[in-house]
Formats: sequence, C-alpha cells, structure tokens
Amino acid sequence: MMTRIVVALDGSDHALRAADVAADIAQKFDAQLHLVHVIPEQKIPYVLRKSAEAEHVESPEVLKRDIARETVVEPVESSVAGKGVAGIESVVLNGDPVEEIKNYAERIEADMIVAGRRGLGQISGILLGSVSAKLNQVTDCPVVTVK
Amino acid sequence: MVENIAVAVDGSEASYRAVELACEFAVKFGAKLHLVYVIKHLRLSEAFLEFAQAEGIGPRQEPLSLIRHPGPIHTGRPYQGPVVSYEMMEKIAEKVIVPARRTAEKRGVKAVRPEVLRGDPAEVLLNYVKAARIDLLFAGRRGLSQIAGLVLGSVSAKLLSHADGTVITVP
Repeated sequence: MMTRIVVALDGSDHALRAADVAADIAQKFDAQLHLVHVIPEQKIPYVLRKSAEAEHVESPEVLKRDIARETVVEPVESSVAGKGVAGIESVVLNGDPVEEIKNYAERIEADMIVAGRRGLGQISGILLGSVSAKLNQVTDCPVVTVK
Repeated sequence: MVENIAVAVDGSEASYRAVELACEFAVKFGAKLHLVYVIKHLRLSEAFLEFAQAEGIGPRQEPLSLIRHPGPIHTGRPYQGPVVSYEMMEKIAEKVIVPARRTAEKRGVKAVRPEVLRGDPAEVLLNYVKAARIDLLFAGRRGLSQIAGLVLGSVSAKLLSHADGTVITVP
C-alpha cells in the first residue's frame, strides 16, 4: 500500500527525471507526491547575518528558501503537473540533505523515497552520488534510485 | 513505460519483502515480473588462470561453487567442512523461487518469469537487466551475509551504482 512518496530534488536534471518517475508511480498507486528540496546547511558568517538584520532584510535562510522554491521546486511542479497525480506537496528545508529527507519521510510516514542516482555538480566519473547512496543505507522505507 | 520488472531473489527476508513490493508494482503497471536467483559461481578471470598455469597449477575441471567455512578463514589448516554441490544449489534455488512465484501468482501478477542463473550475483543481475530490458530492479538491501550491522550488502551496492536502469532497494 503506497500512499505517500517523497522525491528528493536538488535542481539537477537527474532529480527532474527522478520526479517524473516518482510521479508515474504516484499516479499508478493513487499516492500523494511530496517534492522535497534541501538547501545544504552553510554557516552564515556572523557579519552577514548582522548586516542582514541591520538592513531589515529577511534572514539568509528564508531568502535562500524563496529562491530555491522558484529555481528548484517550481520547474518540477510544472513538469509533473499533467501526470494525473492526486496530490502534490512541496517543501524546502535547510540542513543536511540526507538527514532532512530521512526525517521528513519519517514524519509524514512516507512509503517510498525517490532520488536521482547522481545530482548537481557531480563529476562524470562518479557513478552514485553520496546523498543517493546514503538514502539507501539509513532509511527505513524502500528507496528508488533513478538512473 | 514499465514493461519488465525484476527482483533479485536470494532467500533472505529482505528479498522476500522485495518480491512483495515488486508484485505490487507489476500489478499496477501491468508489467512482467522476472524472479531472478543467482547461484554463486566463482569464475576466475583469464589472467588469473594464465597465472595459475604459468605456475604449474592447473585449475580443477569442476570449479567449486559455494563453500561454507565453519570458522575463520586464515587458520592455515586445510579446509575440512562440507562442500556444496551444484545439485544442492539448484535444489536450494527451487526452494526459494517456488514461494516467490506463488506469492506473485496470489497477488495477481499476470506474467511471471522465474530464472535461476549462475555466476557472480551482481554481474549476472546487471547483465540480465540489460539483456531482458528491465525497467525496474528490486533488491533487498542485505542478503544472507552474516556481517552484523550490515545495512547495504555488496551486491545491492553494486546494483545501485551500475545498473542500466532504476533500482529499488527494500530494507
């Protein structure tokens, strides 16, 4: 019984392909699709944080999330729109990609996680990205690795 | 288009769970389900055989299949345990494939293709995926290995990196 499927996005074409596969599965199983993008955590230098506060600008994390939503999530939402998926949710998180995806999947009791075999910035020699590899090791639900 | 789904079957708990999930997919996608059991068969490379022959060591005519070691390997004592013959391995394969096939039929999978092959499991599975044009390959995360705390076995790890298609690992 598959009711909730998580797909990990990172802005790469691989992830887009993974989302297409995830959407096909979601449509066949009448499951909800959760698009999850994790902005890798970076320590924001104190000076930057303070100047952002001084300028009354949104915190860097929030700014990044807004940009990420636009550049990473929305293209995928458009791509899977016409595939007949019952429900699509999307979320942008900050942190360690593997940890955040795992925690999110556990929180929503996901039945499956889908990810591209490689991601962004992967040199062509690499066969299996580290996020993809780790997801197959640390999660408690089946993981789909899309080539 | 998902037309062919394969599951790597080895008798482990995880592989049976992989079979169950693969059946669900086969039914939903209307795909053919290939149940693939690989009998471990040690195949030595050409280079290795040449080296052996150059050293005056001829390989046995019948390469040994699976040998179960009763204790640590590097004891220096000659091996004294049981040797598992091919005949036994084929019987074991049947004991694993038959329940898997029954599960598939019970769950309404229309086309089931059991395959008992021989060789290096990862290599055989990778070749099978290409030859049979498998769209989705299901595998348990760990098999019958006795390594405690192992979360992802060597075969599954190789399938993840090298398979010519989508791989689904089942914990």
